Amino acid sequence: MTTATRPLGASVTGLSDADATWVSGSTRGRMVATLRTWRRAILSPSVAFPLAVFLIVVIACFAGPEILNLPSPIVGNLNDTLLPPGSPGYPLGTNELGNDELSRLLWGGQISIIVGLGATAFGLIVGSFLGMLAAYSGRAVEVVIMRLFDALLAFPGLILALILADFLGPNVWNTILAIGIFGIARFGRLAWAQTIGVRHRDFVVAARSDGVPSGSIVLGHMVPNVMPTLLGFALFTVGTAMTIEAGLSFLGLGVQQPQPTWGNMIAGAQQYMSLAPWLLILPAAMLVITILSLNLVADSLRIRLDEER
Amino acid sequence: MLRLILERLVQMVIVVFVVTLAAFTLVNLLSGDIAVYLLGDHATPEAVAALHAQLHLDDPIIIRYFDWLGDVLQGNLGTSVVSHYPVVKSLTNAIPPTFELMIGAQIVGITLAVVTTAAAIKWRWTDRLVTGVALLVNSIPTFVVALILIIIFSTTLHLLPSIGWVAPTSAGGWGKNIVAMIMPSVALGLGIFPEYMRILRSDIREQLDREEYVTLAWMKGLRPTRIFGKHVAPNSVGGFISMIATTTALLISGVVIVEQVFAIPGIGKMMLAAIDSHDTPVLLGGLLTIVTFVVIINLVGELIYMRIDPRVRATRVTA
Repeated sequence: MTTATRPLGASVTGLSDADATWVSGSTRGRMVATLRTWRRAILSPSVAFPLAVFLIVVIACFAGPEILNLPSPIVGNLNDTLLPPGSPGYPLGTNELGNDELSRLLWGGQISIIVGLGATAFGLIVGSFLGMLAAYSGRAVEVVIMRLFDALLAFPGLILALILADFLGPNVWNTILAIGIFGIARFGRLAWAQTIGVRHRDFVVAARSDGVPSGSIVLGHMVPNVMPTLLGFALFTVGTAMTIEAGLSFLGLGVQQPQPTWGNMIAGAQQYMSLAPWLLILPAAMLVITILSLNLVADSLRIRLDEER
Repeated sequence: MLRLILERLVQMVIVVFVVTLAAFTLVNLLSGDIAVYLLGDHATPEAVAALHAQLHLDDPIIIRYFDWLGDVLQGNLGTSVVSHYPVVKSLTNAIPPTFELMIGAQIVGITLAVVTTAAAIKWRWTDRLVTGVALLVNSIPTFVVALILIIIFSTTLHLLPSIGWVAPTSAGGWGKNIVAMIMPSVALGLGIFPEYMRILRSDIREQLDREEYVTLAWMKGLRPTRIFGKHVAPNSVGGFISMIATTTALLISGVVIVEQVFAIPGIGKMMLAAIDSHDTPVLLGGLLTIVTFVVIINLVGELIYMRIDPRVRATRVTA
């Protein structure tokens, strides 16, 4: 994936002062300026702090089990069931089958994060392709694609995901697919609106009248203009996708036990709510912390980059 | 205006048509052989064939779709292949609890949004607090909110029942019914309030900061209540109202989860059971109801928006 080459939330209609300097600058100069803007934005505390939290969660989930040499999350010891946190050998206790809770939390996080990122990437790629295709081709193609988006949006998202997950069979890839489809119409409409905005800008018209092939115009002029906004939106979507994944798992149609995910851990813990509340609180807290950190990054980054302009 | 409504109505019918066709194809393709599913692995080939004939499973999908559509237009949604109960009856039983839940959630969401927006506009520090809280609430999945509420108010404080549906016709009457709906409504309403607040707050801010008529009103010495009520509010609530309409569509997802957690026998629970048992007629009947409802609500939202905000009438026509 190419990194963004223009600030988030850039205006697409009309040429602001910032835009004018932008267009007149050299390519290299532009790249450097963009990178500086991004670095300043990312290093500001309101972005850097939640980003650090998110990265810590990611590293802990993916490298933690290896580094801490944790027991397997699914081979429990039935003599050690429902131990409270702080028990010897089980820092966060065990679940009803005697599985190590810390290990389950970290392994479960891997699934949540993979599904969150995977579903977003799927929606982003398919959605922006269709949206830009619609805006660039116009006419019948545009009508068909836009009505398709309407239909997808009218489809109650979770129910569509539930049907797909149930009928395709619940596993990680089908969960990603089921949630990703949910995002296609949203990304698609945004990509369409953004592309419409640049479709008649001078640099596109100039390139077209120079006889530049469509493919190059789309890749060279439209994608760089459309992508920043889409990537900004994608940041928000990762959290939403993780929420839906948790919901699917909670309803029993996501990734199945004994393989842990935060959602199915919470669902399983419901029965032991008064006996072992930590089984519910721990995965719920991890889920909320992760989604919150992502939302904070997205929100602060948007504000920062808006201010920069 | 009338032409616009007609145009939208045609679009609506097309969307409902496309969605049901897509759903019909999807469900029929993905569910595999429903006859084998219903009769079990040890069914005789004769029994499977008989059920095929009975359910018209050997016809091409498109023909079965139009058969189904024909029945639908006559008000017949078929019978459940699992319970043999008419789908229309299941739906009429499931709609009231869902409807009440959605109304309750909207009341909670709108009230919270208006109160927090008022606070956010009034003072700087409440603004930061309120936006922070909204972001936090936005990051908590609905089922986690629901479970937290149950832990606090049912298992710890014993204030509210954790089962969310008491029919108003039963012994407890409406009183019991409403008490039981409090927690589900809050669980669902909390999820929608941050979005409401964000849009309401930024719309009002924009009016206050940018528009010259507000400055003029201040200069004329009008009372703040009059400025807000007469000038700012009509120009700010348009986005909010269309937001309420579009959010209703998103609410359906939350409804499925909340109904499951609180054991409310509404549409969400019905759909979940139908998905679980591959009950195609119930699934399609439910989807048709939901999609039709969502499309109508969106249209109503748009029309109200146009009615309230005069600027939209002129510019929004081709959108």
